[in-house]
Amino acid sequence: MKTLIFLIVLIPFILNSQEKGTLKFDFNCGYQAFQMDRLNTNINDPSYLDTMLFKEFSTIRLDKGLSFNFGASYQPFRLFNIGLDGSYQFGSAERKFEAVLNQFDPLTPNEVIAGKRMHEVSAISFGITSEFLIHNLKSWKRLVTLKRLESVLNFKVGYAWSKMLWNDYFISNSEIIKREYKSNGLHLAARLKIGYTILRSPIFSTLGFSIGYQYLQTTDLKSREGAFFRKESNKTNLDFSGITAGLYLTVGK
Amino acid sequence: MASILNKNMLLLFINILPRFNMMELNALFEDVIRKIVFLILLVMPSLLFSQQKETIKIEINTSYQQFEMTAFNERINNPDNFGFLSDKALNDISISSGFKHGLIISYQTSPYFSLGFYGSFQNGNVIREINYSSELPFEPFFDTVIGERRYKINSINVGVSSSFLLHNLNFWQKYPSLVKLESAITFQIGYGFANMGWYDVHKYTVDEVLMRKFKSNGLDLGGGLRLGYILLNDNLFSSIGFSFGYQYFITSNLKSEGGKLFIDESNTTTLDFSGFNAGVYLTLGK
Repeated sequence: MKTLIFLIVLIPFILNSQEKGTLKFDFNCGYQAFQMDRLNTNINDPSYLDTMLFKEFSTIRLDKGLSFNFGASYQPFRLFNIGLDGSYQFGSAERKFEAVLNQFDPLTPNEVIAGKRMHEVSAISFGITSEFLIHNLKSWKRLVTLKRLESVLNFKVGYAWSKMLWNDYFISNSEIIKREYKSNGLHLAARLKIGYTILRSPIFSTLGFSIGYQYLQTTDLKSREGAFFRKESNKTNLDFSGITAGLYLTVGK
Repeated sequence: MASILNKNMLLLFINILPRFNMMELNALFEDVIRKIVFLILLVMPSLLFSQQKETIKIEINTSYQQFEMTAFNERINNPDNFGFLSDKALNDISISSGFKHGLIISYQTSPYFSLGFYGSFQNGNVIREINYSSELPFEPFFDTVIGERRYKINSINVGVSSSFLLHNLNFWQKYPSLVKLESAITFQIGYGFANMGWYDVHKYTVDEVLMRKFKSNGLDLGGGLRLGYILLNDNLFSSIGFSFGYQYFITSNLKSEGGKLFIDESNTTTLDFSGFNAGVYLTLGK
């Protein structure tokens, strides 16, 4: 009887020890909150904008976006894995404009320029990740009866290269006035993932939800030629820091 | 395979047994055993390599890619299209090559075939020096503008990929010197989303460029041969190698977001990314 109990207690760990050496690929997409306070202040500052373009001057904010991650990891230990991760995140806010250009010649009709001013931010980040596999803990096996449920804490340390574009799209002639500024910074992130194993053999696959927080504050935005956004005395950085929530899919063996 | 073999051997024995005496039977038995051993030795590589089935792997590749942008190059060299750019005679410029970076995730469904998804990014660009005198807005006099006109093209392609694994064929296994080498023929079918943009950079565009952007898309087909060296074949599988191939990818006519054709209705332009490619790849799998 004691042997039987011992075996029953031991079986999960024997099984889990087989999970060592797992190679897996993760896809994650989700909602990402930003804290672009300085950028939002600047893009709503009337002294900065050519207000004659805008019939209505409403406040716009760039405070959320989407993020996509792809990572590959290898599990050398029962409770931890280590891997590489790449991510892309972006957000945008737009304001429509319509300007009337009065003609000097009274016989010539005034020209109307219609379009939109689009503010776009994006960041590409690469780094290393490590996951703490909660579902391989002894206590998880005791508490959670669903064998196909997995839970993981994911940590990332990386570096990000970001861009801020503000583009004027002129609908009439298809032209775009594009301004581009760049910056970069350290990227730290942590996520809790809870998923359900939909496939176990011959490869395993998990589908689930993830929620977490990322810290990503960049250096001051600079144009290609080194001009600061907006100017030397009013520098602006990008702050992608915020809560993230999304879906993930894992495939591995 | 083994069960088919045993069944055949049994049938063979049943058919021949009544016709021979013991000595003949022994000789026949030896012959049959010899044939079985030979057959096992012949089949063994396939049996061994069938263990490589169900391999999941990721591949990163980068390559030099030729393009056939005949229509596009003709448009960007026609002064009628873009006005006066230089006081000197214009030299012809062209985008005829670029770089392609890709990622493939595949699963080996049988000893000889794998199936997966691919994503790739390719780009190319060309620069024309500009140098002309012009009356610019807010400038009372003619001014000399020196700078560059930059043309950039790129595309993001996604689709499905399949590989025929030559190194798992029996003949490949006959040569011990090829044990560490892998080779595969890869096919890809997908769809590509392309962009083209052009803008001028000079002293009046310190923090602002006037860029024209156009988009197009089309079917993407590709095929290639891979030859690699197996770095690791233990718990994890890893290889590094060279790839050579051809890509067919001709897009629809370039259009702006507002629907304006590049350059106009009578001079529509496609992007033709078709051409040969050569590069390196790295795989990691299990």
